[in-house]
Amino acid sequence: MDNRYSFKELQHIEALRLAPRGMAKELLADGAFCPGGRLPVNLSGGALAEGVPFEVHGLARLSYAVGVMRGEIKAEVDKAETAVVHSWRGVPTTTSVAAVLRI
Amino acid sequence: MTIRNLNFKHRVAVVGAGLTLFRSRLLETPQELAWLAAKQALDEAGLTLKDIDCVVIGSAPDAFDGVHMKGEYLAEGAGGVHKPTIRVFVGGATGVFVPIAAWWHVASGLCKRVLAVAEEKMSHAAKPHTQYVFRYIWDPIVEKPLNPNLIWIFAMEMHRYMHKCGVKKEDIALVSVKNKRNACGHPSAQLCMPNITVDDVLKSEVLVWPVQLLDISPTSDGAAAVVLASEEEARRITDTPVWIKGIGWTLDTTHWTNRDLAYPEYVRRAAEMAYRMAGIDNPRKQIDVAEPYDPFDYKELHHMEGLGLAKKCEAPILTREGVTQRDGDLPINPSGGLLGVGNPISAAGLMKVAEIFWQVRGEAGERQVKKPVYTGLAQAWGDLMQAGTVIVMGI
Repeated sequence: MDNRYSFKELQHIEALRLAPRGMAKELLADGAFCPGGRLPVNLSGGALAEGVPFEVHGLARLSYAVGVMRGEIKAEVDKAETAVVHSWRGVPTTTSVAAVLRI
Repeated sequence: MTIRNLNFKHRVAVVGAGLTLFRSRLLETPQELAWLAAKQALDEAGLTLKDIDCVVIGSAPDAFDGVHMKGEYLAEGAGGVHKPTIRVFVGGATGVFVPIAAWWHVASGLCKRVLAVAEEKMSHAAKPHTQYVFRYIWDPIVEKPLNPNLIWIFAMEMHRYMHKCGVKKEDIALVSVKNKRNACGHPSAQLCMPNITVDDVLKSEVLVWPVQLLDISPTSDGAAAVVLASEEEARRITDTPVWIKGIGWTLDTTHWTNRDLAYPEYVRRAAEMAYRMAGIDNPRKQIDVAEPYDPFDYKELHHMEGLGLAKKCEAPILTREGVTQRDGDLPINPSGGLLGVGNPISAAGLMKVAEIFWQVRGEAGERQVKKPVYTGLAQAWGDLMQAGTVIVMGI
């Protein structure tokens, strides 16, 4: 998901209902979103690590998820049957796109 | 339904259209303009924003309105907030691309009722002139050092067309005269000139020879909107839906040195796609009225030929013979076109689609063509002058 600002990752986790509202920070501290965690988030590093070539960024999230699900990208996940991919248009917009992928 | 490589689930109809005034320096904000047109289209369809599943917005370069991410900005005025909303953009060709994108939203089965809005406010952004927006559209290595501007490029194209087809300036000026006179029947028109003559065009200021001031459409602000619906919904909404029979779009190369300047290949290919879908094999006989893109007078002729409404080099002859007048055998731009109604880029293209909608419904008032209209066509052109978009509509 889009994490071009670190707090946005937590916000987006909650908005995608992957964590109860207000709980993302605790789950993060418990390692839930880390490699091998209960719900690995942004194993690629996302925007914070990869950079943000604007429109490319969202599609790169999708292709990374596909790579993990097909086993083409080695990632620490227990299961890779369902993924949710999210992108945000960035400041100053409130525009989002989400896709659910399933094998 | 499958027509060669085109697959779709639902037939799609236009059920309402709306238009603001086309003027320079309108006081409304771009968002307000978008809403004025959208509200009118919804009212005409007897719908409210609550009935709309998806929204498609069209707007040409951000720089025209002076707002970056204009799609997101316009979502507020176009009724797109909290709905699946998308902005499409192919420069000048956007106006006809908006209903094309809205068509695939419905034809795919994804949405049942779609609001399509196009807006442009060109008078208040780029200073000293909107032409400055185009300074950075050129290839930075090959073209930019020549410092071209748009009129410069069009002058070359017009010259080439005149040379290859042996067309005189007088013949081309007839298009401007026809459209600026036609515009007098249009309540949105910016340049109604009931008494304009060929002589006026030929005596107007030379910009880049052979392009003169009255060969060109004005700088305008405005918005247009249409509502599209699936067959089932359309029949529920109205007794007189106007069906989208064919759509087509294509891109040619952006290198104008590699294009045929005398013949618009980008239009021919887009038209072929739309005709194939609409089952049209003789456009000259099967199209009753057309709104080809006319930002310059010679472009109407150019595009008529690309659309197969005239043979190569024949459009000036048809124009001289009066065939393209509103009461002629093949009325072209009965709305007044961009030359007469005005040219708020994307809104101008959608204005043409609205005109065909009203012509097919017999609701064009003073502008209604004399012959019965079963099938009409609208076309736009733009991007880096190599994008073509075509829509065929009918009963």
